[in-house]
Amino acid sequence: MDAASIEEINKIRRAMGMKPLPVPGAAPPPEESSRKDTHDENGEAASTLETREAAAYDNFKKVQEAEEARRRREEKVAAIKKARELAQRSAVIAGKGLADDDDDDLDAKTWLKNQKKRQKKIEAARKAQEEKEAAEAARAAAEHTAADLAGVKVAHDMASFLDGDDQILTLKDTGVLENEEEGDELENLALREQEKLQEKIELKRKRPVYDPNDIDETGEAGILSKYDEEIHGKKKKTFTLDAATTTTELGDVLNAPVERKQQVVDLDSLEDAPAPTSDYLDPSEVKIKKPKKKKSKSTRQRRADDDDALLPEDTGVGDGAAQEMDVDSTPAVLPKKRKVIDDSFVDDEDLQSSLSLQRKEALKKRKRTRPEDIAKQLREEAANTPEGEIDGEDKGFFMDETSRFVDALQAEPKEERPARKTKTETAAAVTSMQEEESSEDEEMHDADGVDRGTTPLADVPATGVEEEKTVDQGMGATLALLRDRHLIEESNGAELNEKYRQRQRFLNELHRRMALFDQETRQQREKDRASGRLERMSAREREEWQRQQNAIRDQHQSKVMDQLFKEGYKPNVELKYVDGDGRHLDAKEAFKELSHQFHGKGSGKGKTDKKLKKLAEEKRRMAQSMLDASQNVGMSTAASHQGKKRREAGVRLA
Amino acid sequence: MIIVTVNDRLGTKAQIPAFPSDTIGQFKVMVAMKVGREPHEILLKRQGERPFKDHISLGDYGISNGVQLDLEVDTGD
Repeated sequence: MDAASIEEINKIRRAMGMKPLPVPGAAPPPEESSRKDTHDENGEAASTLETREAAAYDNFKKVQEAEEARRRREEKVAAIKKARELAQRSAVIAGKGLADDDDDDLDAKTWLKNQKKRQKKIEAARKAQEEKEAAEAARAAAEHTAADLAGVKVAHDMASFLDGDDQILTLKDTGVLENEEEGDELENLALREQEKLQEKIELKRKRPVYDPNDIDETGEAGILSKYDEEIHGKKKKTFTLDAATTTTELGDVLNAPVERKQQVVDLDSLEDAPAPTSDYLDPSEVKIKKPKKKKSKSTRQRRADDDDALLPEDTGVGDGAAQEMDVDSTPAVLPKKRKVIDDSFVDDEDLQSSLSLQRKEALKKRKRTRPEDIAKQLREEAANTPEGEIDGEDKGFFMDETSRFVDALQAEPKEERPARKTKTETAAAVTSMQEEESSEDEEMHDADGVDRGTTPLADVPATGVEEEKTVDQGMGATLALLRDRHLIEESNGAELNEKYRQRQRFLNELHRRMALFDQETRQQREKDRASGRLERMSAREREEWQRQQNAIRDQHQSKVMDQLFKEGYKPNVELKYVDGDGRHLDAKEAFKELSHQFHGKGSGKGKTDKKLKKLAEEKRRMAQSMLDASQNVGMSTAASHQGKKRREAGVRLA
Repeated sequence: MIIVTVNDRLGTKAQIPAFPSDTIGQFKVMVAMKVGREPHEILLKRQGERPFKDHISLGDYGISNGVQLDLEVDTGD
């Protein structure tokens, strides 16, 4: 970057109100110098990017100086070290060498003398050592008493030491600095293992969390005591060794109440309670009649057991004497056949007799109804029933021709056969009558035939239903037929007629007015021509005038017509949609059709099939005779159709 | 003062001095002067990154001395 281009840029920067770039070669701007310091004028630490960057050079210088100083210091240290090493190397090694004599010249004699001395010295040293050891051992033995252990915690329940003879306690394995204030703890490894195992087993047992019988040492069941361990931490059973109190505590433990036993319910005590009642009778209570020797008596008893005998009011309403009789003695004359069956049937006489005994018991308990009572009851009921109800009963069942027809239809086949037979018989009889005279039977048959002839109702035609109208009877009949079949809607003819007449009236009025207008125009022209007004005008003027006249006339006419339309014109708008087959579509279908046309896509195969099926069904329905009962066999269609036609609710009898 | 190189990879390459405290908008004016295009038509970005926004400073974008920026035509969208 040359100074010129920077100058150029600076111009723009100044124009934009920005700080100019420093130009190389030119004197730095005065404010720059003030920022030499790492701190601003305000004395704050360099906070902005600019101040920090301005301080960069100084920082760099400082770092370099520091580096230099360090380097110099290190050089100095290295020099000192070097000098020392040199001095050490050059220093003379003092002391005796291997080759040097340790003492002055020693001969064997002196060495021997010295040898004894040396021996003594060694002996003395050994003795001193032994003595020291012995003293130490003695001291240790003397000092290690129960008092030494006083104040040491034992991490077990005292109860666990009760059994067993010797327990070896070791210092608990902890960090050196841990539990400094608590002091050391003793524990027995074997016991500790056992406790752990116990705990694991407890956990594995999966006991229910809530145990109502669980009572803690204080004698009361804590609320949610199962969480106590989680909240307060595990309760440790510890005791502190103490020379004096150990024994007493032990004593306490021994005297402590035995752990609370869970409440035990003695099931034997329940024996005093009354025995539960059995579903079965006690054999001692059941009294079984001894089987009767006589066969006849047993059969009589069987008769009494019959269900008929159990319901005396059903059988013996009319028979007061029989009612009064004991059940055992009810037997009327029994049919022989039955007796035989009974004899073969009775296989367990004991059971039967006991059962009959029970039934008799039940009967005795039951209130006996006498015929008088029943009569009384009936009378009361009759008195209570309101008269309206009776009237209603009269109304309740309505027999019309249709239902009677239906009944007749069902009843007919039974009678028909014999009737036909009789006819042939009569024929035969007639032929035979000529030969032999016996007429009684004949007359009977004749009478029967006459009866049959009169059975059909007088009002109803032969079929029992109203005759269906046929098309050949005329327009009205055809219409009625169609209407009966619901093929055409009941149209409100009066309204339609009214509409039609109104429309015709309107059209007539329109025509009349038109004619009137025409006439008027013609008259006007005639008048103009007659007055000679036109002759005075030029051709062009005439034309102009006529056009004007026409316009005025048109205006007048349109006004009048408008009035007319406003008053009388009521258009009858009818949107008719016809599909490809010529069917009239209703709004929904039409919409579907249009939509399909618009989208160029019809409904799927399933829907199309359904639609076609529906159409076919409709066609079939239209073609079907009203009296065709083949479709719904269960219900008489004739009756239902008739009912529908007359708009009556009916009940299906069969 | 930092010198930023602006390159459009089509033959135009310019070196522009600026302060890191300058905003991109101000820097664009400088670029416009050098390149000969309206400032609002200039779009600056690091290669492969999103275009720089006008109101953020060069220093905030981490543009230091000797960094090369891509120059593109800002069509406004």
